[in-house]
Amino acid sequence: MKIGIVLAQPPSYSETFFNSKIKGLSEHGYTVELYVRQKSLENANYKVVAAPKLSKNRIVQLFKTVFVLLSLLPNLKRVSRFIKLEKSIGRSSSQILKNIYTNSHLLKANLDWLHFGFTTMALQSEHVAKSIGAKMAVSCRGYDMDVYPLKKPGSYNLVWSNVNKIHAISKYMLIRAKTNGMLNTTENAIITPAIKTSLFQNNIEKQIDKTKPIRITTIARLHWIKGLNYTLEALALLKAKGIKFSYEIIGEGSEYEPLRFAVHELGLEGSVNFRGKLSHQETLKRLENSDIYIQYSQSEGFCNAVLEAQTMNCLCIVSDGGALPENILDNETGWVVPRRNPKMLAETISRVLSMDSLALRVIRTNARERVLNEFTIKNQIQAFIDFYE
Amino acid sequence: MKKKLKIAIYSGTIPSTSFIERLINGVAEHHEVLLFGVQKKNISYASKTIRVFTTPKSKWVNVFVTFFRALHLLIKQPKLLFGLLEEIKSEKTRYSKFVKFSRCLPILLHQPDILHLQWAKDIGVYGFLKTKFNIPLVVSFRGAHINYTPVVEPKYASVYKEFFPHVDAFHGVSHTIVKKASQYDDIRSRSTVIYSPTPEFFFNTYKPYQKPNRKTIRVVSVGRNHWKKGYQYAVDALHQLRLKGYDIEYSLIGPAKPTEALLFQMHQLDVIDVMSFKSQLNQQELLEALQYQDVLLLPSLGEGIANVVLEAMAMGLPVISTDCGGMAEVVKHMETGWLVPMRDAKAIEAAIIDFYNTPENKLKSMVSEAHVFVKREFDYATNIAKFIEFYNTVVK
Repeated sequence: MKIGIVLAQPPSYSETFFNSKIKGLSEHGYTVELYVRQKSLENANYKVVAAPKLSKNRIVQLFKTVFVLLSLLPNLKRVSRFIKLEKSIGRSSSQILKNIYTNSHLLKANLDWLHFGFTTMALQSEHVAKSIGAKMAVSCRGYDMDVYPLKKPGSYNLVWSNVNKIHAISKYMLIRAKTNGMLNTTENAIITPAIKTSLFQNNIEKQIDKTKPIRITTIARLHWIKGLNYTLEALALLKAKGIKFSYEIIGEGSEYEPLRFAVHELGLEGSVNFRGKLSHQETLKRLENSDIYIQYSQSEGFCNAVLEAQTMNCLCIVSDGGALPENILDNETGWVVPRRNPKMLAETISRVLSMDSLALRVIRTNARERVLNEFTIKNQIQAFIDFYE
Repeated sequence: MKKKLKIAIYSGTIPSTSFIERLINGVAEHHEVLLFGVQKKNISYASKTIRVFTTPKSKWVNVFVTFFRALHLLIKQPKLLFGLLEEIKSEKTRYSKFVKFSRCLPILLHQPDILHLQWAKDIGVYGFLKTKFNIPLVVSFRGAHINYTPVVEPKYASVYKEFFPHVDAFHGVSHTIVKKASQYDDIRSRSTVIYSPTPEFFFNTYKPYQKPNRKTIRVVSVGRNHWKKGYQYAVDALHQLRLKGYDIEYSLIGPAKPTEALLFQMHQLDVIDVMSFKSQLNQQELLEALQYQDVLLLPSLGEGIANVVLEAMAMGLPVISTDCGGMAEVVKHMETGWLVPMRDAKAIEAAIIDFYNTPENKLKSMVSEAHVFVKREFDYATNIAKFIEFYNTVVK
């Protein structure tokens, strides 16, 4: 079976989710090809096909268009089917021409499944699968379902009416997809992200040393959806109670300025470190040395970082935003706190710190075992095989 | 009568923000005002004592104009031109050398008696005009440039430490901001606090307060879409108030539509149906929009002194403000309004409830006190006179 996965660019080494999926499927005899908007420099062990680039220069673009159209001549039937489908929904001729150009690499592909890695990637490509005689699948991830449709309501309608099967990374994502117009009759599967268990063989023994500052970590882009300002406000409340801690945020992003200012205004100078973006290996090292992991996001599609933190024996405290309550079971594998409520987050952290070490050990063990048993790449691959079969 | 001074009121752009424009027009009644910077919009000043020397927006026109200005300076005062050429050598790229050259050239050519920088951050670029060419330098502290820029971009803290000792005088829009700026140099003896003049216009529409006879509480905030405006806390509070059964409407004037973050929050907290957005309004439209409202909320995380709070107080609209920047100098809790801590949705929520439950008589006296206070401290003519006096001390 031949599967084409559509992404913006080839996954980087750290994107375990895609890499492991591609590798696992290939090992089971599937042919996986990647269709991207832009090729990256990293070497891949699979075929990567890039979409033709758009040029700002009109004359250059004209030549490129002619060239791309000529290259589509052997696939004339597919192109005419595509045009017909596009016309049937009333798309303008210029938009159809544009879509032929940007989808030309897909229109030439011979595939059984065309799987869009993000729902937004399927926009303006809704008719491609049908035109090339493939089945169409889309994945529903965080931004796809949580934010984009708020800005452009109804933008997925065409996707929903053309897709054969939907992959959601959590129950929450599936509910969001339904709220955003997904048809109830469409086949679907929830396949959560997974972790490479081989990286987490070492069961690190941890105990909170109360004579030293508590080590707290968050891995997140500096982005509003990650709720970092609420986290900082909670930490300020802890500090006021005399609890000593050292907090690290691993990640970079556009909202450094307000967060850096918040650290200053909340009197957290010296207790908070912005580590910037770190490699996967360095990040794991940081988790190894962390007592508590916090993910107090406004919403999450699922969140890989929380999975990894659990296997590194960090005590995880998360918000109830999005799929986080699926990732952490409250009071069993960590703690789930209502979102946007710094006071409750601070209370939970201090409650955890006051628990006896035996009770904390139980939580750590539960969390690690659950992740290592349920969120393995092996399970994930099997789920994808079932998905395509 | 004293000799008229040439005062350069520099903000980088022409026209500038409304409060700087008010200053320009006010000062022009007493002295000659020189404006330098990039012209963003066409504007013609009625006063003949306002002279505009723009840096053209188009790169090529700018090359042409700068060439002639350089020639002019070469003939007039060659030493200044060579000094400037020497100064720009420290710039890293050829382009930044040209930008600095083209912006500073007209200032040297027209030699103001005072160069008044409206934004403290500019001192890194223009400070040399004092240290090298001895043009008397005045710097204003208005808000962000002291409140958070040096925290977020530490290089500005060093720039301030380097140049503040050379500045002749500082103007602060509040006592709080002068205190904050004092960490960079001993500036107290050179600093004067002059509140921003509030236009007569808002005072003229003042009416004694009357409590409206309706259940809905209409709350309004005014300001652009920027994290420091703290709308997120207002929306959190709005959500809680709705859960408690309050009938409340929240309008934002300034942003035409919510940011992605705010939009998400509105959906997640299910307050989308009680929020509305209006893009920036002119003064008359703003006044009318405010007259429709019950209370003005300033949920900000940083301000000098927010003009919109002054305007609301002038016209008789009750205000709830966070204790940011110099707001405490204006909003006296339970006397002229409600003052709440920053980043505290619960406190905003409590203040709105308290406002709602306050009897008409008490509100009437608070609003009247606020009006009298702003009229006394933020009066246009008095504050312009203070600026004139301030400039006179610089060139004494």
